[in-house]
Amino acid sequence: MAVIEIQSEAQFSELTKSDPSKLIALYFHTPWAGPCKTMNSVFKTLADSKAADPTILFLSINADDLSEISEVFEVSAVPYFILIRNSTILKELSGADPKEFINALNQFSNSAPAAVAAAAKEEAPINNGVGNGAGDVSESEEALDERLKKLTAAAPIMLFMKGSPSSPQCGFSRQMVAILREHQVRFGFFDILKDDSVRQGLKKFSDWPTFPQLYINGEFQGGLDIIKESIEEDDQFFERALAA
Amino acid sequence: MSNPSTIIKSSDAPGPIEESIVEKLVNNLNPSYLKIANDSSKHAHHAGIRGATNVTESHFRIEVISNEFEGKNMPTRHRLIYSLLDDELKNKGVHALQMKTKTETESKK
Repeated sequence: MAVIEIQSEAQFSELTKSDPSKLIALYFHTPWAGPCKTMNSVFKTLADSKAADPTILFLSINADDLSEISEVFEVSAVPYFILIRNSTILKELSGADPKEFINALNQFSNSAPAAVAAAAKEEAPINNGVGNGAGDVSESEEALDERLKKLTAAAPIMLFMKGSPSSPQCGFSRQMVAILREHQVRFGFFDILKDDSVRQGLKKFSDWPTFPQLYINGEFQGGLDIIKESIEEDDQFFERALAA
Repeated sequence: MSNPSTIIKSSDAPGPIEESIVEKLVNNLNPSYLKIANDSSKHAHHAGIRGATNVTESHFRIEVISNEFEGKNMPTRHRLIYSLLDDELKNKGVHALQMKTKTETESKK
C-alpha cells in the first residue's frame, strides 16, 4: 500500500524529517466530508502509480483525529493537499480537484508524470466545477435541483464563495473564510466562479441573490452580514447551529 | 408622533440607481433612519465584476432602521430588501448589498 495513513504525531514527525530530498504529499481528510470519499481513492490511485518511486512519500492524515497537525499547517477545509520537501512547503491545494493535484505533483517530482486520465476518472461529482461544470449541455432543472441539494449538504458547514479559501476572489468571501477560521470551524466550500449553473441555480435555490452563502446542515443561514451579526450576538453560533 | 426620517446618501450627487434604491426603501419600509454608501470603487477590479457594464453603482452599503422589521429574523429582513430591489439586482447591475437592519427598539439598545 503506497499511502501511509498517519496514526500519530510522532510517526508524522519521523516520516517527514527522515529524508530531506523526498517529496512528501500530505493529504488531509475527514470521514464526513463528501468530496473526501472520492479524493481518498484518487490519492490512493496516484500513490499506487508512484509506488516504485522511492523519492515520493504519500501521507494521509485524518484531520479530525490529528488536529494538532492540521493546525500546524492551518488546514481548515478538507480535502486539503500540501506538497513539502526538506521541511519547506512547495504547494497547497484546497478542494477536490484531482487534475490540479496531479499537475502540482508532476511539477515537483523528479520521476515520470503521473497518468492524469486514470486518476481523473475518479472525479467526485461534488467538487469544484470540474466534471459537471462548463462542459455539460442543458442540465434539466430537476437534475440541477438534485445536485444543489447534495451540494448544500456535502459538509455540515458548506460555504459557497467566489474563489477558494486559499485564494478568495472577493472581499466578502475572504471575510467569511476569515470568520470561519477564527472560530476554528471545519467547512467544505464550493467555488461558484467555476460553475455558472450552480452560481445561478443557487440564487434561486436559496432565494438569495448574492454570494458568499453559508449553509449549515443543509439549511441556508445567510450571507456575510448575517453571519457577522449572528456571531456578535452569540459567540457559539456555529456550535449551536451544528448541534441543532 | 412620528420622528422625521433621516436619510443619508453617499454624496451630494448620487447616481440614478442609488436614487431608485432610496426611493423604494423609503416608500416601502418607512424607515426612521436610512444611510446608504456606495462602495463600488473598492470592487471595480475584482474578478467577480470584471467585464461588467456597471462598475460605478454596483456595491452598496445600507443601514436601515424601520419597524417593518419587527418580528422578522435576519434572513427574512434581508430577503425583504432583496425583493424590493429585485430590478436593481437582476437588471441594473447591482452586485452586492451590505445590510444592517434594525427595528427602532433594537437601535436603542
